[in-house]
Amino acid sequence: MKVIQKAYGRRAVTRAMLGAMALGPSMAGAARAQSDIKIGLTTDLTGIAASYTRSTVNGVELGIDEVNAAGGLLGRKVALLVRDSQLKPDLGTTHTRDLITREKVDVLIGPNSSAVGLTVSAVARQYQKPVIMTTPNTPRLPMELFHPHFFTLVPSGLMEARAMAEVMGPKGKKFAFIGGDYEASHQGLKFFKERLAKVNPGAEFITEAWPKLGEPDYTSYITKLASAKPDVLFSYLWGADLVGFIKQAKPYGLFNRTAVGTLLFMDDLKALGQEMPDGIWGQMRAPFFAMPGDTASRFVERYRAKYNDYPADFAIMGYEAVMAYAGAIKDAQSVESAALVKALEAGTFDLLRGRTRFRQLDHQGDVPSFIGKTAAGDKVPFKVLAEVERVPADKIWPSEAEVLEARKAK
Amino acid sequence: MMDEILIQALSGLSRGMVLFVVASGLTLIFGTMRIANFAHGSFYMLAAFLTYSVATMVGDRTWGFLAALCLAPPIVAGVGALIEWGLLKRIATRPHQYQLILTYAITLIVADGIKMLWGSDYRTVARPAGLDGAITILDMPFPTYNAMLILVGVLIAVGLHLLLTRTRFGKTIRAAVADGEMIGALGVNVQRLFTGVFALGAGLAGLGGVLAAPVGSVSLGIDSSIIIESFAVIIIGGVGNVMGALIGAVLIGVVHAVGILFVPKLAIAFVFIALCAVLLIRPQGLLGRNT
Repeated sequence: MKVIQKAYGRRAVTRAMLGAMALGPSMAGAARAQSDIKIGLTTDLTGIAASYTRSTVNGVELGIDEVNAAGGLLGRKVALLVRDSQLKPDLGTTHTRDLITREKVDVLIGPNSSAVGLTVSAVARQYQKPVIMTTPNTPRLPMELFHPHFFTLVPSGLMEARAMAEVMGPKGKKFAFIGGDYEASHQGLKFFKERLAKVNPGAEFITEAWPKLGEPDYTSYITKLASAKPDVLFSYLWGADLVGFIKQAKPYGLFNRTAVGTLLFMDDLKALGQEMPDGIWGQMRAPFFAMPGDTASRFVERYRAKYNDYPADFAIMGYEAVMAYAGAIKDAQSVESAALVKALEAGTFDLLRGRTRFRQLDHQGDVPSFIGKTAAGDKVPFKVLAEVERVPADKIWPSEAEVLEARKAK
Repeated sequence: MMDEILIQALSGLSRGMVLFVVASGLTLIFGTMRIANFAHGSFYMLAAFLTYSVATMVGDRTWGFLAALCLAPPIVAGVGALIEWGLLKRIATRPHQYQLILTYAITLIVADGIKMLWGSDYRTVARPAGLDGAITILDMPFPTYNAMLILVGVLIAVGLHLLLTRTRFGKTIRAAVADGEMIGALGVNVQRLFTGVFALGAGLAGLGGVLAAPVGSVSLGIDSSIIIESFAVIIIGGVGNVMGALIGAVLIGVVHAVGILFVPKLAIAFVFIALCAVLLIRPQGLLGRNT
């Protein structure tokens, strides 16, 4: 938390000025703070996603620490301003606007939830400030709601569902679905079915279960799924819901008879510990244990040293957003929006998930989707994914025709 | 098909039992003190987190769970008594909406307190050894833990029934539900009764939290999902009536479970359809008295 420069408004400014008057030398400090490069991060620190958001902020902090330790950017230090949007879209708007107009941030990093992501992106568009999304992944952002200052390092919901269909599609004939009853989940199933029809035309869905978000007891859904005897179960549950579901489905032997493919975050692996069954197909956005090369393993060590925890997917993507900005600012030799957008479009960035470019068409980072089977981890106290397959972005992202079609329909 | 409906109903029954334990506490508090206690879900959540901590400290999954079962409900009952004595009592003479706002404020305070103590990660509690497998009913696996929940729910219902009908404390509670002013006039120490009832209610919420912890995940937010269903239970069953809460909870659990089988997309709505039907046809609740 130390590097977070909290914004207290006018009082803080007055206090800083008084302090500066009282102590001559700190004037120099105030002047230097003026020329910091400022990253604004509006995100959902309170609410059900709080632990994910904590990871994002940690990753971003670590990235900024490293940039500053290496001398900063363009001879200036980098500072982080964090605001809490509490999963409320209107707070996303007001905080982001305030960060831009009053705190004069140079660039933005997106929030946690898609609903807040939409409003943050809209403000970035209005004030023409670059924003990199690290978590919200509704396909509407890069497709119909695209604007030139928007960039994303998360595989969109469309890409993830297609990647899942690519991997799970050939594993059987009879498919079942379980997912929380909300928009992203309905969309996810639609995208999955579309790709499944290509991958495995003979496959069919025999049952679907739609528990409410935050359902504490899945037993009734599980008995229904188990009696349908599907070959493959596609799950769009995540977080605490997924953890509850897996614990409750285990005694039914669901994971022995059925190939289960699900969204999965490191937090889920950690929460379940050894209770996590082997052989579940998990789809992750940025699993630290499957990152290529030494850079990633050194990152994991530094992260653990600083936070005494393993970096969640969100921490890795937050860290990568800082690295992408650092690369682009060096390339552009400027923090001015137009130059920075150009540099982000033109650059190739060495991120933890590998070399990454943003596609011109929709500024979607060409990040893969990671799918593997749960198995015991030899270095960590929880299960990890084995046989991890990287489904490449160009196999799953929307074609140019699809993107243009969506934008025309808007 | 019949087998499937039966197993589905059984799974609904186990869900209903946890709900019953929590809602029975809520209905006692509501019936005796006429307080719609929103903080009831917080007691449930607090107990679930305590279960996690106790189980982690003890280490062994069976002993850890048993230790939590012995420790968490009394602790939560104590917290409930403190809240009643320190806060609710002070505004007992004010209009009801003040108490409503106060109990709502307590939910926020408890949630933030839990976040400060335990952090915002979600966690899991292992099921005790021997209860983590499944038994076979009608050729279908049924989790042993859920079967145990049904038994425990029945035991708690019997226990509460005995408490309310055979003990002086219980009889006083029933009298307070029937006519609160009268028992004061008859010389019962109403203040002590209220603190006792609130502690008992909180303890029952805590017991529900311990029983539910090994089923799903222990996370922030489980307070709000249980409180909504608990209110539905006591409205269906009749305010202040423990047997009504049992019927209401089992009804909600089974209707929900069987609903999933036939109209999965409407499963969530069934609880509230049942609630509306009761409100329209029998507004005082199935076992409630006309007032």
